[in-house]
Amino acid sequence: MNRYLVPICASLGAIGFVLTIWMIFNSTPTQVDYQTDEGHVFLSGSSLFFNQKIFYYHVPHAFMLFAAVATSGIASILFLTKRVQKWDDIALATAEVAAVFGAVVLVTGSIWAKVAWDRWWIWEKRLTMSLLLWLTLIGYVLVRRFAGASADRLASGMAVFAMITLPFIYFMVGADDSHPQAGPDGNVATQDPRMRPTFYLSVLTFLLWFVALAAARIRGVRMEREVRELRERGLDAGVLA
Amino acid sequence: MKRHLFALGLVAALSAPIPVAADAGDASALRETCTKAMNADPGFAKSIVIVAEKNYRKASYEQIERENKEIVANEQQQERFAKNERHVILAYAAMWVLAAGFLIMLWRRQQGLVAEIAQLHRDLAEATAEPAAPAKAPAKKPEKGETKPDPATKGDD
Repeated sequence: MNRYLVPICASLGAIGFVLTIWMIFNSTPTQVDYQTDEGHVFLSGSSLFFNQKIFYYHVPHAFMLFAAVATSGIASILFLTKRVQKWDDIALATAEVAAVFGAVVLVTGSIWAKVAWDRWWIWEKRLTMSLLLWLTLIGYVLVRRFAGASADRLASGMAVFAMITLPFIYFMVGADDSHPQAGPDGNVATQDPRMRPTFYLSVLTFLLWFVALAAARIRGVRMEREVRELRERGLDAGVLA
Repeated sequence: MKRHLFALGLVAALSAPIPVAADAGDASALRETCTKAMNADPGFAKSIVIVAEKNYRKASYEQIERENKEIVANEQQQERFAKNERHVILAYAAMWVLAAGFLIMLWRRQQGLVAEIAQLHRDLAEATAEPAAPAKAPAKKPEKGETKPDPATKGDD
């Protein structure tokens, strides 16, 4: 892996963070929805005013959660089929990063829910599925941490299972789903044009952040494996107790 | 004066809720009497209009006042909601705390691994170098009951 990948992505991500923060609070409109009723204009129930600014962190984190889980799932499939260690390293590293992104999504989403619905949590379909996905990721991390080196195939199965839940979370939003949407018809591309540059920059920033974290963690996973191998060598040589 | 009193009494009677069981014919008869009296005396008609307008205005003012209070309360609530920065700060802080926590954990783990790898490399290098350079420490005299350690089984425990 290129040794400059982590510093480059982290530096660009840091610049992106600064720009994003500035744009969120200076160039994006305060989200207010209107609806008309016989010539009168009323505030819509989806008007979130200043609180909608949570959107610019919450949704890109959800996108990165999806990207990390998909990467982990695909790497696990490749590891299960080809038995090449590097795929398992990628799967483990991205699963841990996904667990962090998932935690951010759930926490920021819960805070947003308090504003929008006046409740910290509701058992809405997308929220429940997201919680299940995050618990699966936590399970994966715990299995890798405590079940020993031989748990790699079991953990790979869990990563594939986590990946399978992604389309359900994304497409589960139907007419009866109360989860706020990125755009009026549930599509990010149809959101207010003044919101788009900030939103896309935010997605790019967190993509760089994800790549930097995953690359750093892959390096860490390889170092952990190196430690295990050195210990085994030490035991074989009689150096270590 | 008598007429005015009559008119007020009439207005009070008309504005009072009509009993359900009241005969519809009585009300129309009263209305007809009133209309005739008003047509006969413009002053009486004027006094009726003044009283009716007064009551209407009073009711309107009360309604407007009620609506104004509701609007002010709604505006205050909307303003509070619109300027609510607490949750935004909370959400952003949560994200930064989680990210910083993960970074610190990553960095510490990485540092620990670097140190451990270096230590293991040193230990292995020393172990492989040992046969070339025999132990410099003075040979320890075996104590009573102690057997001399076998180099072949070193570290097997």
